[in-house]
Amino acid sequence: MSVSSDRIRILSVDDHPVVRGGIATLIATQPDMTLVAEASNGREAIEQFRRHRPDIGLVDLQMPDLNGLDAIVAIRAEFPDARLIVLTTYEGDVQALRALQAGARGYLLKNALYKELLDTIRAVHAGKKAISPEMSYELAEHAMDDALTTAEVDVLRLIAGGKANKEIADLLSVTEATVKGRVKNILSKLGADDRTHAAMIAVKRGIIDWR
Amino acid sequence: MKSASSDTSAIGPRLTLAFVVLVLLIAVGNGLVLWQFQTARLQTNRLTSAQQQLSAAFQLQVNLLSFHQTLRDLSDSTNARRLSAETVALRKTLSDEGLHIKTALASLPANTTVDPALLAIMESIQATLPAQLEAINALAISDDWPTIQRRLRSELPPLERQTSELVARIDLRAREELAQAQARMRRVQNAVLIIVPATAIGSFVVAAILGWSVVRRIVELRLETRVSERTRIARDLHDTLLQSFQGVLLRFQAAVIVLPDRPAEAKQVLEHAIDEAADAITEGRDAVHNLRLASGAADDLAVAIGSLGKELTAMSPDGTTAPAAVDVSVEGTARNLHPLVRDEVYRIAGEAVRNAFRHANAQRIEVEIRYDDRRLRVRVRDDGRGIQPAVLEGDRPGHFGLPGMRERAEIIGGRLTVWSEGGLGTEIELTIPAAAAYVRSRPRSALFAGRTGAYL
Repeated sequence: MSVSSDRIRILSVDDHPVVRGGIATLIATQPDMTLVAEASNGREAIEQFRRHRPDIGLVDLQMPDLNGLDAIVAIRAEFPDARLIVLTTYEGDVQALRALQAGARGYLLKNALYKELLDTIRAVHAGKKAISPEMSYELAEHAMDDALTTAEVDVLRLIAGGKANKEIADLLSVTEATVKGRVKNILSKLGADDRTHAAMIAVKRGIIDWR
Repeated sequence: MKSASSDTSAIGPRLTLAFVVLVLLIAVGNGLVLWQFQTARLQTNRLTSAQQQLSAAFQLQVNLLSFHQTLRDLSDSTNARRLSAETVALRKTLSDEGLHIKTALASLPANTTVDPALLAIMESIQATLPAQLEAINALAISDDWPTIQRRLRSELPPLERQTSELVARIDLRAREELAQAQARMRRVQNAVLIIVPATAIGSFVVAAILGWSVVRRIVELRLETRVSERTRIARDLHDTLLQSFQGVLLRFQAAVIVLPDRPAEAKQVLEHAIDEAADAITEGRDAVHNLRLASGAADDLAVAIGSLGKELTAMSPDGTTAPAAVDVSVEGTARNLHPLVRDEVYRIAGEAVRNAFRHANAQRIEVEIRYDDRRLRVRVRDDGRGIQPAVLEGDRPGHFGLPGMRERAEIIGGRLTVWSEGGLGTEIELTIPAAAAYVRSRPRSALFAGRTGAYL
């Protein structure tokens, strides 16, 4: 199997069959690449990685069952030198930061996939790190921002889930005053006008995953 | 929005507490005022009683004195015939007056006591005076006037003395009662002056807090709905249009790469991409439909479902099969639905209609909306080939399938029932209890609409 060992062996993980189909078609046009497996959620991704040990894993972030970020953490824990590239629809800087901290080597926005996917696969396979240009602007934009605390992110997630302060307080076992304080911090850190705006920003910047 | 039962818990403990405090405050305040009124009524009763006893005693005294005077005058006249005639009249007057006083004492207010001496003196007058009259009459006939005058002097004064002592005593008691009553009434007055304003101010403050909390809660609820609605729309878009187009773009890119060397393969890739783009348009249309409804443009459920049917008919999958006819009927008077319920009913019914179009190969689809006093019922019937497993499992992106339809029905407090048999078509029935489905009154919905406009 000398031919296949020369090729870059790829695992594609995305819950959308149309996207997986597109990736498979594109990779099939490349003589130096081969798609060895596909997965539609994080759990399958871990199994398939174990079974095939691909050179590159393309991992969507928003997936049911086990999301991409958790899958990346799990795979990197088991295979520390796994080379994983994140594919995502969103330009959220916070989400990108988390993925990179979890050990992703590449971060691609899906709207640039058709142009950048093949080059990024080769670059990451060669040991480089690769981030979509748009994404790096986004990261730079908020690099100096005051990051939200974990507690604030928890509150923000519940706000986006349509919960009122009182319910949030009950769910997090804190007082309503504490929640109000956190909401105030969130609004100021995100530069949001109100709760709805904060929730929108949170989704846009990938602070929370709304699935 | 976990379940329909969370409607009551959504009011929140603070609101409930404020409401309970308000009700208690009003009840206790009014109770205290009523208690003061009761105290005042008791005082009035006691005063009335004392005054009536006093007047009865006075009357007794006056009667006795005038009786004595008349007898003395008669004995001085030494006219036996006249005395005999007068004693008959005197006896009648005596018994009449006695009855009169007894009646007055019997009609005293409850819970008041009659001086026992008053009754005793009355009894003794009633018992002794007629006999006295008889005796005097007899003495007069025998012309023994000195004895008559002696008897009058010796037997009547003690009775008069007793009566005047009684009058003095009852008068004293009445004065005491009056003084006490005045003091008590002053206390009642002071208490009422404190209780009434305190209750009014307290109720006003709590009611204001309650009102403010209610307004805040309404705004919060609207915000929550709004936030989750936007999140849902974003998810719908992400699940359908964006993903599909990115997949299609990847295929286009693949076609561009292979086109120079392998045009036949490029053509195949492009054909596949075109199919997927067509599917994406269909799904996008559905998502846009949901968006349009979420914006509140389609208020009337029947109109919304009808126009969905028309669009689906117009874009029938291929020219070969005749498009299915969608027939929407409404039974009962259309009622205003809660916006969320309306949207979800539209989505569930819309999904059923789409399934009938795409999978059941139906010729005829009937949608029946029934506005009942007790519930809203929506039925979607088709004459297609029954439900396909893929639809049952609901694994197609952008579509929620039957489990999703059931879940959505439960979220809005309703129930979804499905009948399907191979070759005999499918019928789904969605029922939602009136309390969960209908907006209760027009003014309230107008208020809500105004609030939404103002706050969002």
